[in-house]
Amino acid sequence: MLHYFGSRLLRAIVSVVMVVTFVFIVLRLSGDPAIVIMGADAPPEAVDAFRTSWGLDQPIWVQYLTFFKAIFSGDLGQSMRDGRDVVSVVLERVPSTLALTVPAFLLNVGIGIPAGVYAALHRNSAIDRFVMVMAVTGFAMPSFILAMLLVLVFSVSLGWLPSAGQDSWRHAILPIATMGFGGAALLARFTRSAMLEVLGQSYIRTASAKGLSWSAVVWRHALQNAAIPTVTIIGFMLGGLVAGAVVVESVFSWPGVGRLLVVSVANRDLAVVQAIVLMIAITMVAANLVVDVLYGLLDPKMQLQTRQARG
Amino acid sequence: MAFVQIRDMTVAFGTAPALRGISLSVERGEALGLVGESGCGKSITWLAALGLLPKSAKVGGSVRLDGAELIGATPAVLEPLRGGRIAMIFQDPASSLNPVHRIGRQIAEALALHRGMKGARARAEVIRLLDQVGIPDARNRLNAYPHELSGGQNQRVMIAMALAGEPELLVADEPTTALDVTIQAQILDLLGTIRRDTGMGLVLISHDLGVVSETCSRIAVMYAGRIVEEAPSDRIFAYPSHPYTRGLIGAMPPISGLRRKLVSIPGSVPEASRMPLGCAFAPRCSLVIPDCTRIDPAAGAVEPGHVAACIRATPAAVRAPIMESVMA
Ligand SMILES: Nc1ncnc2c1ncn2[C@@H]1O[C@H](COP(=O)(O)OP(=O)(O)O)[C@@H](O)[C@H]1O
Ligand SMILES: [Mg+2]
Repeated sequence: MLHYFGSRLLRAIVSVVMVVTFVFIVLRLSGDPAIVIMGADAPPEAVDAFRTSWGLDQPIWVQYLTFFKAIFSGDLGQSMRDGRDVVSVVLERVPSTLALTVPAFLLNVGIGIPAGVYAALHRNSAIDRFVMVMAVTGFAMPSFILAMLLVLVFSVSLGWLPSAGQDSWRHAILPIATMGFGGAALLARFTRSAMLEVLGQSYIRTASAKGLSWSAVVWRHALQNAAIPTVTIIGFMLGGLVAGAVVVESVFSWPGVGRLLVVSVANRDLAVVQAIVLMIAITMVAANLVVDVLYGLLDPKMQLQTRQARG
Repeated sequence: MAFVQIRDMTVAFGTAPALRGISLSVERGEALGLVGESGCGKSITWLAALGLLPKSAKVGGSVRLDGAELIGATPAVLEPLRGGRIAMIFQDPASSLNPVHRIGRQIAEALALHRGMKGARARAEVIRLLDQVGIPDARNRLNAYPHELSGGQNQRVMIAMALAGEPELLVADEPTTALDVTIQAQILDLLGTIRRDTGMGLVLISHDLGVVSETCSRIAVMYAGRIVEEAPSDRIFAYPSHPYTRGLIGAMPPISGLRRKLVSIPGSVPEASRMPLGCAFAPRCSLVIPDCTRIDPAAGAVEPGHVAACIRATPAAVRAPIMESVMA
């Protein structure tokens, strides 16, 4: 098991380094922060001074090595906007983002899994069809369109909920609903097909032939098997949530990490963008590791492979 | 009264009739063989009897267990007798066991259901059952997952699980088809031993007449959702009366070392949705006469305890000239 997760962890670190490197290079090739931040009509001496003070006059590989050395001493740099430490600039936005993504994730799982299981167990019933229509709609619709629709209905027409800002818990409802519904739809679809696949297996018939009630067959024999592919999807979804937060926070002017990322990219605030990308990459990798652990717990075949890999 | 009495059972998926009126009885402790090519309806006969078919299947007729009707019975009636009075094992042992549960747990589940056993008592009984079906080192093997065992061992586990409920009848649906030949013989031996030790009845389903003839005293031959011939095993071989049965015998590999050309039956089993008029076997039958495509033959006695559903079948006493020509 340790060997298995050791190799997973190594691969994870390599992915993080690659993502961060990619972003580092693209950011520097795609626009000059000095011009963006100082303004196009700033005097050339001032722009040059800016470049020198942030090390932007160095060759890119020197900048890159400096950046990495700094990371290992725990220094992610300062915001070019206000000179504050980027870690605190980013961290102060984290609670706002978690306030959307955590409830949205709970909605994804809390609605998506039961809806998918129910639809599979009542295949072709009216409720199954309803779930599938919702799932396909939610899956096909980009989240910003769903966000617009929700704003149109609940803010503009009905006037029930605010459409922008972070002044009260009511402001969080529409962004959470946007992210919650899309993810729930995705998960419902996958859970349903995983469940249908399992229900058609021979061991389900064996469990019934043994004399178990249908509910015991479902609870004891079907769900754990269906959970194995579903966990993978949940892992992907965690990544999707971060991406969703970028869109949804922008649409609803929610001052979280996602909006900070969009603003910082526009401003070429390099250190902030890099810090956010690093954080997102680490989050995704951590989510993948959690998925791998769950996988190992759910699927005994994984445990066998692990034992073989180790011994 | 027979232990299980099936009368005029029909099964249809949508409008396609998969079983077209099956009557069959199994006596207490008897070993009955059910043979026929794949797709004849052998499996659904017993799945329907135990209420294990999907809801999309329409089941008609009657199945009585010790006189009590099973068709249309509620889950509360069916659940205790599944595995408790009639147990069933399936063709592919590897996929018939739950891959995420240890085999000991899967057997113990049946013990808890039918014999109320839990904890250390259940564990001891699991070990005894695994010993009985010939799994070595049962004490440790009960912690194995199905993918850690061979196909033959998994089938032994399936049998142990079936025995856990102390059933009066075991329906073994092609229990050896997925296994290689030496393992097949071992599993059939095991079933024979268990029957001797427990007096349990056996319905052995197979597409291979050779497999059932060694184990069963009576054989029913199925074709396209019907039973076309039924007789004591020795009479099936001594006086096969349905051309389909003769075809199956012709397709059997010889038991002796003598090499002989295997004659397989030309054509294939008709699909339920494209059942021919008259006798379903007529399109493949070498003895077909014009009447065969018009008359749907009813089962008739050819000798005591031996029935065949063929208009050309003749009583054993007469020994029709057709027989000579076929056997020649
Ligand atoms: N769940 C099902 N849905 C539709 N048709 C089925 C189903 N199960 C079995 N059948 C049909 O019923 C017929 C008999 O099947 P089966 O009893 O499995 O045959 P056998 O066991 O003799 O090989 C086949 O033609 C098969 O296609
Ligand atoms: Mg079958």
